[in-house]
Amino acid sequence: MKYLTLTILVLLLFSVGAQAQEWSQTRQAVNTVASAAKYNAAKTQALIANEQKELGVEKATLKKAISLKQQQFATFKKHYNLLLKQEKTLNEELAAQAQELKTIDGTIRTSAKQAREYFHESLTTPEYPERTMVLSEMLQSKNFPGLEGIQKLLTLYMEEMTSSGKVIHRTGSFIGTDGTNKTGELVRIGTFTAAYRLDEGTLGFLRPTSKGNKLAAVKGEPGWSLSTTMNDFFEGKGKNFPVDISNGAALARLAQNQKSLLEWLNAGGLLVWPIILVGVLAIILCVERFYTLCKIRSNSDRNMEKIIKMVSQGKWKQCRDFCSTQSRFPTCRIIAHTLKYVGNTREIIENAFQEGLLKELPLLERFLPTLSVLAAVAPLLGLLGTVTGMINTFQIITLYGTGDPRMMSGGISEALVTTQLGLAVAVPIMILHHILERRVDKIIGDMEEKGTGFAVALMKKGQIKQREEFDAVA
Amino acid sequence: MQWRDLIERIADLFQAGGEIMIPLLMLSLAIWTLAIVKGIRLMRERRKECSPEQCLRTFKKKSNMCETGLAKWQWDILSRYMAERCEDSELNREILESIRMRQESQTVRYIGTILILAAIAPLLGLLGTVTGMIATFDVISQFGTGNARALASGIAEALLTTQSGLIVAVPGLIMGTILFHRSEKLKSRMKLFCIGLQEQTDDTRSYGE
Repeated sequence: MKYLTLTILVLLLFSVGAQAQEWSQTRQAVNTVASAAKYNAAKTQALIANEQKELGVEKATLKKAISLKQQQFATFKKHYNLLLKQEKTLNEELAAQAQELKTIDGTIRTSAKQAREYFHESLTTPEYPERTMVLSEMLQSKNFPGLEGIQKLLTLYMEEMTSSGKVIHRTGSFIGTDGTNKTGELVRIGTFTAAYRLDEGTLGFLRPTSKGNKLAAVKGEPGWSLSTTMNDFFEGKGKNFPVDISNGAALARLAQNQKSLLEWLNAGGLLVWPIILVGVLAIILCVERFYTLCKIRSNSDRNMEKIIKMVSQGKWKQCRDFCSTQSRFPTCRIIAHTLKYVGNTREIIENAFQEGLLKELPLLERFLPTLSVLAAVAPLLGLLGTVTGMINTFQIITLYGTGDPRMMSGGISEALVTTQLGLAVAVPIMILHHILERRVDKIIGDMEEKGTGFAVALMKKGQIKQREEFDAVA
Repeated sequence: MQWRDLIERIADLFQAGGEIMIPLLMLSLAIWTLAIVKGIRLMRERRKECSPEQCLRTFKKKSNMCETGLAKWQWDILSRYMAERCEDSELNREILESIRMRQESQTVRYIGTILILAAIAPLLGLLGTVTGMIATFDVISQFGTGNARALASGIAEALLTTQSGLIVAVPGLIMGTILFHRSEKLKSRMKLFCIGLQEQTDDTRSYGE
């Protein structure tokens, strides 16, 4: 701008000079103008140089500042990266530690759960009621059990260990077999067995309830010998006590062994009833037979003596009367029947006697074939029950597989109980039938003998005619 | 010492076999007693038997003395027959028949019992088996199949009773059959004896007259 104004000024002066006066004047004026312009130019140049110089200085300082800042930035970045790296490793470390902590927490909780299960099964728990609280507190998921929890758990186990080594005799309450609370003497032997005795003298074993905080009586009476030993122990006389080392299984069996007859029969299924029917029928028949046959046997000898005496004395009327009064006895009935034919030939008398005997036989042998059939039927029914039970078992197997033996036990117990019952019914029937049969055989032999004796007596008395004699009379 | 061991072992077996072993033992004792008594009697009688002629002679010599040198059944038949005999030979045969029947029934006595008892023994053994199996299944329902030791006692009971039942039954059946055959033979000898006796008595009478 400056140069432009200057040039325009110079040109104006130049033209003005040329137009107006003479050349020197003009020349002088131009020279002055030129020198002034030169001076101005120099001044301007100096100014510009000065300004340039200043700018340069300024630029240098700025550059310096920039490089300084850049350097600073680089160091900061380096530091930042370093910190990032550090953060990453620390984070990893933290995660690992959290994992570890979680594992520890889980382990403590699991062992607390195990401890709870163990203490629920333990006989000592009712003596330490605070256990359940401690354990439930530990099992809450909010708080971390930590070292304190481990310490508590350890204390519980230590307590259990010391108390399981003791025999404790105390008075306390428990749940009776009927479900009510009862108070009585209690004895606990380690963690094996607990038993109670009531004031009235009832004895029994105890098991912890499912929550473990109370003792409950086991169903089933201990036998006589067990009771004596237990009573002795309660009174301090004996040092022996029955101990169940199977952790309750033996006691459960004690209860099961004493299941009632009805339960046992129910286990046998439907076929039990026909077998029982067979047994009852057989018992009734046997009783009836024994009663009749015993009566017959005890009297026949004595009666026969009297009859033979009367016959030898020829008292026919009296003999007939005697036989009719004693008509309860088959021998007398046969003799009475034969007496009607006195005076006939021997063949007729013998036939009459045989006839009488044949009439008596069915009475004697009554029910005996039935008994033998019943004895044969009972084991067959048992076998039928076995087969039915096995079919049930196999049906269950096809449905549920063989995984759980308990599922199958229903059918198997049906099979076995019916077999057992069938055999148990059949064996006595067989023995009784044999005895009865022998008795009947004996009675029949006895009767035949009496018959010949009677015939001999008649013969001696001359009441039997020879055939020729008889023919002659006829 | 050996005896004690044996007794101990037997006691162990009994304990393992359960309650059924007691009736089985009684059954076995009954069978053996009956069989031995019966066998000895049959053997002894067999040795003493003699012909009807001889019998009659000895009887006449010492008719009021106790049976000496004669088999018991021969003496019984002879004495009763002599006491009840009458003139009618037909009737005599009848009398002899009835006496023989009574003797025969005494011969087969107890043999039927032995056979029946021998037949019952395996049934009792089976009963024990079933009881043992029930015990086994009780154990299974309680402990599952894992507890082999608990299972074993029931199985031992089951097997031991079967075994004992068979051990009792087999000799019983054999002895019973042997004794049965013996008694059948004795029966036929009795029949022969009776026929001979009657011939002899009839003969002597006819000679006497």
